[in-house]
Amino acid sequence: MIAAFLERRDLTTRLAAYESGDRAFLLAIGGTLLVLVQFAPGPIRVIFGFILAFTIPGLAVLSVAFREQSDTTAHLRGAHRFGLVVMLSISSHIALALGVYALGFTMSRMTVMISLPILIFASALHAILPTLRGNAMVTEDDVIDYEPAGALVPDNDHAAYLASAQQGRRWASRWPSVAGLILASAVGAMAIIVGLKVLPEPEGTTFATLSLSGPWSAIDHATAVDRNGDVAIQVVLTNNSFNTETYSLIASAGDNTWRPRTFTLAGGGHWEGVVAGHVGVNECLTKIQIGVTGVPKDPTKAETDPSKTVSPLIVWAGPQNELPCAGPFSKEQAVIKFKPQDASGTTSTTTSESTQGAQG
Amino acid sequence: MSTPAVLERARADPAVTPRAIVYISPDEPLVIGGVLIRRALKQMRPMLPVWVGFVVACGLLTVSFWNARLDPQGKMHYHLFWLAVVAFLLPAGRKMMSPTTRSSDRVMTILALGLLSYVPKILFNPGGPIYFDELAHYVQTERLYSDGHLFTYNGLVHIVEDYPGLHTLTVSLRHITGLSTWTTSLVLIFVLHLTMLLGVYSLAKVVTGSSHTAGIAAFLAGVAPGLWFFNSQFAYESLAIVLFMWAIVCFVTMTKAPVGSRRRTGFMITGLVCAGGMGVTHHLTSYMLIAQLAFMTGIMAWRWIRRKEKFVNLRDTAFVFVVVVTVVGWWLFKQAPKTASYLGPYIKKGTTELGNMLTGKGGAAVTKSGPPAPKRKLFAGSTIPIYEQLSAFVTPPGIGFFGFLGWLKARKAYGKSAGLGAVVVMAGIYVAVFPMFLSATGNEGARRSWAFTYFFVGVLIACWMAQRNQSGKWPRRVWGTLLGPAAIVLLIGNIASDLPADYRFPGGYVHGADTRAVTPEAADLARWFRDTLGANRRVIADRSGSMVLDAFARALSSAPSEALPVWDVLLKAELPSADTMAPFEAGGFRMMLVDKRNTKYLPRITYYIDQQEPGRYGRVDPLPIETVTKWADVPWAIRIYSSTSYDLYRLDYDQFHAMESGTHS
Repeated sequence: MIAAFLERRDLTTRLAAYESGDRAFLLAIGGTLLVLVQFAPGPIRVIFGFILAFTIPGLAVLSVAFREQSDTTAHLRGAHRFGLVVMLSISSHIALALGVYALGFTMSRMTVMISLPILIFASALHAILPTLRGNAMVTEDDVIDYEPAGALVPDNDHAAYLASAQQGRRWASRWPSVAGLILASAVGAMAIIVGLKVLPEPEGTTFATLSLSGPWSAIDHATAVDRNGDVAIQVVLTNNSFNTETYSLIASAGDNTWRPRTFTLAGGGHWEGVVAGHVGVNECLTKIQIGVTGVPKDPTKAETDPSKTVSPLIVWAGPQNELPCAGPFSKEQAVIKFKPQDASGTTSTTTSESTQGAQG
Repeated sequence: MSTPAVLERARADPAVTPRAIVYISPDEPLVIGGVLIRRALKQMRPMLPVWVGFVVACGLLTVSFWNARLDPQGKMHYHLFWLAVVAFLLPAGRKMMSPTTRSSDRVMTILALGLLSYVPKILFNPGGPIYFDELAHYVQTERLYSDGHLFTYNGLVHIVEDYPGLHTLTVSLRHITGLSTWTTSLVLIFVLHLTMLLGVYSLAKVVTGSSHTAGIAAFLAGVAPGLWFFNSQFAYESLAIVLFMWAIVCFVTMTKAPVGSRRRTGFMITGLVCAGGMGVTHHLTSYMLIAQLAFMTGIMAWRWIRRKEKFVNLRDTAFVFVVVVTVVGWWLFKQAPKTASYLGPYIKKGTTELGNMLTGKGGAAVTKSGPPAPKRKLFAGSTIPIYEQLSAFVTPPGIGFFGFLGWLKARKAYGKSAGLGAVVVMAGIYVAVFPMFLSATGNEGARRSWAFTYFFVGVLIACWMAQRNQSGKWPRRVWGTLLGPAAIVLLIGNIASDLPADYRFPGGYVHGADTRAVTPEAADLARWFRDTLGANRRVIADRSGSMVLDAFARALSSAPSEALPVWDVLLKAELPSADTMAPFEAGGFRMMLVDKRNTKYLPRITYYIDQQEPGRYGRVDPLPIETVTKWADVPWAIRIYSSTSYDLYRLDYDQFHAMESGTHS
């Protein structure tokens, strides 16, 4: 029965046609690539992943759109065929993602890796079913190539190409061209890579950063504090230059200037710790400023007022039961105790320091 | 020739010392070793100048971009860049003009040109996105990858969220390959570059039937405006324009397929698939395709009435037109209703300025916010070499002129077909929008449209050049050498008129230039922001701050608008009122970034925040220092981060309201 089935001329003819085309290999190649992409290590996954992504969905759509192998092989050649396959692949990915999303699924690796095989199997099924039913007729109309609009110039090349195609040596005549491009691309890429590695990079910009850290970085309102106490604020200072720099960390609360601290940080180094001091509180809110400045050779000329540094950090503290307050914000003194709150609302009194590249 | 005969011939050939003979077809033996290599080298020899030129160009481009980093104010990097272009385009142009060049060599040369046109982009920013649009798409893709949700908020370009084509594609590729978003995008745009030129080649081949003309057309497309930089960025236009081109290729091929054939249906389906992908990727490109199909349908109807066109061609093209209009229209009204308000101001101002210019009232469009836009001064204060400026002035009229000559030749040679007619109409648009190039607002629209229309003018010019090459009036050797120099002049002009130098070469920080905003300091801020505060924090920031925080800290910046007047918060010397802050509080904007450099420099792009900001035009000084210092004594603004250039605040709206009520009481 199988022999009789295979002896059906129309079927075997078609199967023979599929051997060199899209459909016979579509399932096999698509399946193999999917497996490789799923389980292969990094570089292989990348290479085969791109091959899969840019070709297989497009071939699937092409096989559905044209149905007969003769349509695609005879009329879609070379650049036209390659470009169309890539663009159909791209459109397919977009369509699949939107379709899956419309069905209520968020986009994930699983949805991508499931929807792709569905597309491939569906297109293969679409191609094979008419063949098995024996109603995929190749009409004479289909195998007649369209007339060119009329070549303006005698297209020797085109004629040569057709002749070569008829002689069945298309690839043999093409591959030196492809090899030339591949070789040139490889050498060109090497030139770029070597150039980027060998040529020296210019020096980058230098800057310093000062920021609140730890629970203090989560502060989102004026801090409620008790009267009669000190404050310890956690900060991080970073030297983003290429040289070792010495910084002076100065702070104040209202009119109350805190004892400065001096650090020497290597290029790229940072210091993280607490800046502590007595808080002078006015009726409502006290402004606490922490600034960073360079260290002059003459210590007597050292800056002690953080408001005169470039953009000091600013936090506000006020009595527990008076926040938020409407002012006024005079510089009257009051002694308060600080209770910093982290994001979860728990009390924290961090005092540890961590230093990288610092000599303090 | 039968297989045994081939064997006999191979065995009889004294040059063949076969260790293995592999048949790749019944007629052609592929001999491993010996003959194969010799034959290949012989076949490659004519192309040697092209490949050597390609390698030299890669090397020179590398040195050019390195020099730009070292000495951004100098001009050497320009010269090196163009020297690289010359090294490749001269031999390649000569090969493309030669009618004896093999088809495969033509295609490979086109691919090489597509490859080379992407090298500057890779050398400019190999490590990550830097263009404004690129950053917007990058962050949108990152968000999609991390949470799987489409149509999520984008603070940089809010229209981007309604067109997820590029993002879904990139995320799919990322899931398949396992690469990062940036690396995936580099590969994707690289592939798109190649397929773009193949699309032009295919279109010209279908329209003219000549691979010679098609090769020249694709070669000219390789020097198109935008291809080397604008369409190299990871943005939706870069994808959509390629889908647009392939949709056109399919539809034109469809009209040439036999009536009633499966092939006709096949090209219709594939064209619609490309058009569908494009419709959900980019708005303007969709409308360009509709315009193109409208022209095609109109031309076919006209020709059918005159009994010069088959009805079936009109029917199929009209069907395709209706389907595309339906899909694009549905997407516009159902999924992307913001598009009209996004594009509206550009179109309105551009047409107003154009109208004013044509009626002699000057080019200025009156704006609500401050002085009107001034007339556009081309290359004012630009540092680009004089030859680039000259080429920029010469190129557009030159393209128009030679396109016109091409049209005259094509009419005679190919007859009047709807496909050619559509090419001519699109080419005509290139010339028609030229006056808009001179207006301050309209020039962006003109340049964007050139990215499409130039390809069609290129096809016409290719017709003219191919015909002249064959006419015999001038020695073929002379004509054969003209394409390369012509392409070089075109490329210089197209690039110079398309983008300022800051967007082409790397260099030091330039205030208000998008591509120079991502400094190490900005990157450090973004890193701290994300590590300390987490993602999805809504932040008030100027343009460059938004770029950095959105893209690299996953923040959600405030897309500025009349309803969300960021300029009233950041650009005014006075503190904002309760009314001003109300929408920000309602929107959950609790972070604010202040760039202290705004008080030192004027922005290169003429605005600090957005094109709608008050006082954009006519600004002669940077912002007053009070725009930065006003926050120092505000208890509702807590300065939690400070660096040399940035201050980051957390806003306490409870305190703000308490103060407001205190003030009023």
